[in-house]
Order: sequence, then C-alpha cells, then structure tokens
Amino acid sequence: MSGPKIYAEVFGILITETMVNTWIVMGIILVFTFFATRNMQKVPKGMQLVGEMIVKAIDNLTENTMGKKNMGFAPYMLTLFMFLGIANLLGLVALRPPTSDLAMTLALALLTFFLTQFFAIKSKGVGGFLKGFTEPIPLLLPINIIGELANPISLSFRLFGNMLGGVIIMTLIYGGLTNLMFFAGGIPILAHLYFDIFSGLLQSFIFVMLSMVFISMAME
Amino acid sequence: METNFIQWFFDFIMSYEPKVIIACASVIGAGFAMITGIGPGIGQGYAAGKGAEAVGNSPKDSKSIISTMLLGAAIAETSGILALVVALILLFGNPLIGASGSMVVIASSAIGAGIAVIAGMGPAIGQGYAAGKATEAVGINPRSSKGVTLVMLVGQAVAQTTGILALVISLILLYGNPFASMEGAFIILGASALGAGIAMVGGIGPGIGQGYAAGKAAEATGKRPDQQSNITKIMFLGQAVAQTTGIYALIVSLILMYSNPFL
Repeated sequence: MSGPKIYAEVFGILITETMVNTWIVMGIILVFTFFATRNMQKVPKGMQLVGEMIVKAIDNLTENTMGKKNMGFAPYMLTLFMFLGIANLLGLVALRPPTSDLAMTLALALLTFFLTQFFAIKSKGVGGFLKGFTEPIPLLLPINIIGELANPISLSFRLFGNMLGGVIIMTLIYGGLTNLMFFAGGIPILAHLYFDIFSGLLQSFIFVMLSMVFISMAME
Repeated sequence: METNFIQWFFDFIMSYEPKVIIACASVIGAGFAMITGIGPGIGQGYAAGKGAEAVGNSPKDSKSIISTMLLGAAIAETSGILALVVALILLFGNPLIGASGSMVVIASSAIGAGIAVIAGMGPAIGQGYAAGKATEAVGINPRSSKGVTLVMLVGQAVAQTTGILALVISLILLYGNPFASMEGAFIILGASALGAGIAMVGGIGPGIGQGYAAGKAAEATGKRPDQQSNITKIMFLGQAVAQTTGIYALIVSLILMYSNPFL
C-alpha cells in the first residue's frame, strides 16, 4: 500500500496523483456543464434535462434542510456534490479518488468550517458568536471550542477514511485475485459496487448534508 | 524465591529481535481492532429485526422498508470497515516495522492503534438502532420515507464522530507517532502509547447515545414529517452534548501524546 504518487515537481510544488486526478474531475464537470448549457431549450432534453434535474434536486434539498431564506447556498452545495460525487467514482476507472488524500478532504472540510464561522459571526455579531461558546454554562468553554474544532476533523476523516478504506481493500482484492483467476470476474464487481458507487455517492451526500446542517445551525 | 514479574517479562521480550516483537504486537493490535465487529453485528441485527417486523405489518410497503433498512445498515457497517482497514494496515502495510525508536514503545503503539478503533463499536450499535427506528417509521408511514431517511443519515453521520476521532488517534499512532522520538523511560512512553489508544474506547458511549437520538428523531419525523427541520435541530443539539465525553477521551489521548505530565 502506498500513498498518492508524486509525478513531478514544479517550482517546489509537488504535482501529486491527487492533483492530477482533481484536474480530471474538474475537466469532466467543465465539459458536462459546457455541453449541458449549449442550445438551451424551453422544454429541456438530453444533457440539459440531466443538468436541470440535478440543480432541481439540490435546490429542493437545500430548501428542506436550510430553509427558504438560505437558498443562496444551493450553488455551493451543488458544486460540492458534483465534485465529490465524480471524485469518489474515479475508482471505477482505476484512478485513485482524490478524496482518498487527507489534504483534499481537509481543504473541503475547512471551507465548510470557515463558512460556518463566517455566517455565525455575520448573523449573530461578534459578541453573540463568542457568547455562544459559553453556553449553557461558562465552565464548558474549552469543551465547546474543542467540540467546534472536532467538526472539520470528523468531517474530513469521515470521507477520507471511507475512501482510503475502499482503495486499500480494492488493492488487496486485486492483489489476491491474481492467484484466483476463476473468481476474478465477480468479486471486484461487487466490491466496486459497494466501495465506489454506494459508499462513494453516500459519503458525498453525507458531506454535503452535514455542511448544510452545520452552516444553517450556526446561523440560528 | 523472589521474582519480579515485570522485570522477567521485559527480559523475556528483550531476548527476541525487535522486529519479531513489533510484528507480534501488530498481530495482537489487528486482533483487538476486529473486536469492533461486535458493534455492526448488534446494530445491523436490530435493524434487520425491525425491518422484518415492519414488512410483517405492512407487506405491500416492503420495497421502501427494505431500502431504508439496507441504507441504514450499510452506514452501521462503516466502523467495521474502518477497523478492518486498521487491521489490514497492521498486517500488510505496517509502517511501524522498521520504525526507529524503542522497541517496547513501537510495539505498544501497534497494540494501542488496534485498541483505539474498538470505539467504533458504539457508533455501529447506535447507527444500527437509528436504522431500525427509521425502518419502523417508514413501515408505519411510507410517505414520510424521504424525510425519515434524511434525518437518519444526518444523525448516523454525527454518531460516527467518536469512531472517526478514534481512527485519527489510531493513524497518528501508526504514522506520526510522537513517542518514537521522545526522550524518557521507555516503559512510560510505551504505557502512554497504549493508554492513548485505550482512552479512545470511551467513544463507545457517545456513539450509542447519539445513535439513539438519531433513531428517536427518525421515529419522530415519521410521525410529523412537517416538523423535520425542528426535529433535526433538537437532535443535533442533544448529540452535541452527548459528544462531550468523547471529546474528553480525545483530550486525554492527545495530552498523553503531546504534553505528557509523566515525562
């Protein structure tokens, strides 16, 4: 088992497998959004229809979870979901999912973390924000602070742990199967079904849902 | 005859190659890690029971009942998979074999890393309970299944937190072990590495409790789907408080690692 490969070094910045695969995900999203928004029709069909269905689904989810007044977050949540969804599915085409690198998931979790803090301060004011840490009793101040810092850690490691777990187990399965050519057809398909498609999409969804809940709770 | 058991034990251990002892400790750690499997077993069993009950009561809704149960049970499997990953790392890609530092410290870290993830037992039991309650709610009111599933998923994800913190400690012990380069008596360092792992087992409690909250919230959403956002809010607040002892465990573990008072 090894970490993401390092391909090159440009001006002291390491170009890793994670970065290259992230570019691939970005490319897929760009190509999709480009073609889905060409020749837009009043009655959608083809890729425009798919695009509209995705946007509609995330809009509904945002409205149900965060309330009508927070619909402005829907584009961010949609971006997050599209990126995570496609990134987690890369294992299907034998690419290492960028989300199996802690650097990637921690960056995304920190985005949510800072959004949470920013909108908490914005809606409650600096005083109200700081006072929130001394509730229900001031004695709990250190616990509240550590509890708040534990959120981005658990958010990033939840995704990272699940994806890396999938990568490790898939590697072991493929390694073990070289001796068992007879079964080689079925076992990886089932494992991909669970670790890449099911677990990957579910973890993307959970990441987005928790981001929504964290941000909207902070604004109450 | 006067014998000092601890002295005898360490003399006995020291008579082997360091690599052998570390490999032994890793195998023991991998065994400890898999104790976590108790959790998914109980949790998924409960969910399956509730699923059977719900299908028995309303056979025509069996499709939505079974899909809710499978989704919930699959999440309850997470801790088991994370524990399996730690065990596999200890067995196949062990970073501690060949690590520099006192052999007793490295060996204790391997065992500690395995023990830490036992915390996942709690989240798995709690998540299984939530899955069972959500399945029951869908059986009673199939039209609420979307809201119930959402509340269940968010609640289960929060209930996973202590299991994830335990995984973090376990990975620190494996990959960024602060004890290996520390100065001090090897027996204190080794005991601290073991203690850092054992402390995280405290995460069992918050995991079960938060899962219970998630289950009750899913049940409530089934009864009052229009109150979903309020129910989620209350669940979240309660879970945040239930988290506290898990955070204590994390603090103790981090203190042992980074500002140990005995060194």
